[in-house]
Amino acid sequence: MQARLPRLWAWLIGPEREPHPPPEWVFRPIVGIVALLVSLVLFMTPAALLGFGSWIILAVEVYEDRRALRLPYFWWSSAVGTFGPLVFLMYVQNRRETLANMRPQTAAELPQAAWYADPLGLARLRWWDGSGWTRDVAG
Amino acid sequence: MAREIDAYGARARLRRPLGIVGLTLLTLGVYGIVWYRRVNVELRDYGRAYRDDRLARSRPRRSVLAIIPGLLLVVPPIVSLIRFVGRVRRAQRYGRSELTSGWLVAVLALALVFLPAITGYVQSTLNELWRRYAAASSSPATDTVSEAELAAAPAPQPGAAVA
Repeated sequence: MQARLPRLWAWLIGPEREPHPPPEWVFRPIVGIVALLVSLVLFMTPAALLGFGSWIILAVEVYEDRRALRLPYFWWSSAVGTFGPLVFLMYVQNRRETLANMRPQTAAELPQAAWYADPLGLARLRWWDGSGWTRDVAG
Repeated sequence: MAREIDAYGARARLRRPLGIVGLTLLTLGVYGIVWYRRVNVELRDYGRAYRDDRLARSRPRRSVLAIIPGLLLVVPPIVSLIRFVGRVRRAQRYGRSELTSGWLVAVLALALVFLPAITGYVQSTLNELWRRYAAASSSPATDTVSEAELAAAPAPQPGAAVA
């Protein structure tokens, strides 16, 4: 049963493909603001349905971005597709914070070489050489 | 359904986000409360491991009480949720992983229909944090630790060195 589900998924969606990261300018706040204005204007016309177009485009861009960043894509792309450009603006802010949080630390920010509690949980202590963990353990 | 990991001695679980949402719906919210308490316990233990007072001093039981009887007063669950997201983000800053968006949690909470989705979204971001420790704790012996596992493990906190 478990083997059938991935096969069914591949049959429905197609084979796995390489991520296509959107250009960086897409994740500027102005893009979300313009999309919001465009959809609001369209909602006031007889072609109101077209107002959802920008929502779908933004959701796809978020999906591609998350895939390229190797982060879970379901929640954010679904939220942008459901709630529209306002949530896209939230995504832009969260993306900036997340990328800043995930960037590698500079040498000055890293702690000094010493024995520290083993983050891998395989020994009591592991040696940190000032730039990375080593195989030396104690305890 | 869940896989346990060890982060500096703190135990946490990788859970399937959609499974949590499904169980929350099936149990009419009861599992959501159970999940809320368990995740709060994991965050408290993680705070103890990192010697972070703000995380370590959190009280999971009080967080649950703020949701269940507190719901009648409207304000306590809102305060509890705001503080909870703050704690999750604090833990994610230690692990240098993706940050949970408080704004998205607020949108899901305000939409009411999507309230159970909060559990799935927060768990998916927490999974990103716990996965940084997961591969390592599943290794059976020290000498089998790969370079990738060593590189993926978060850096220690300055001042946490053992003499």
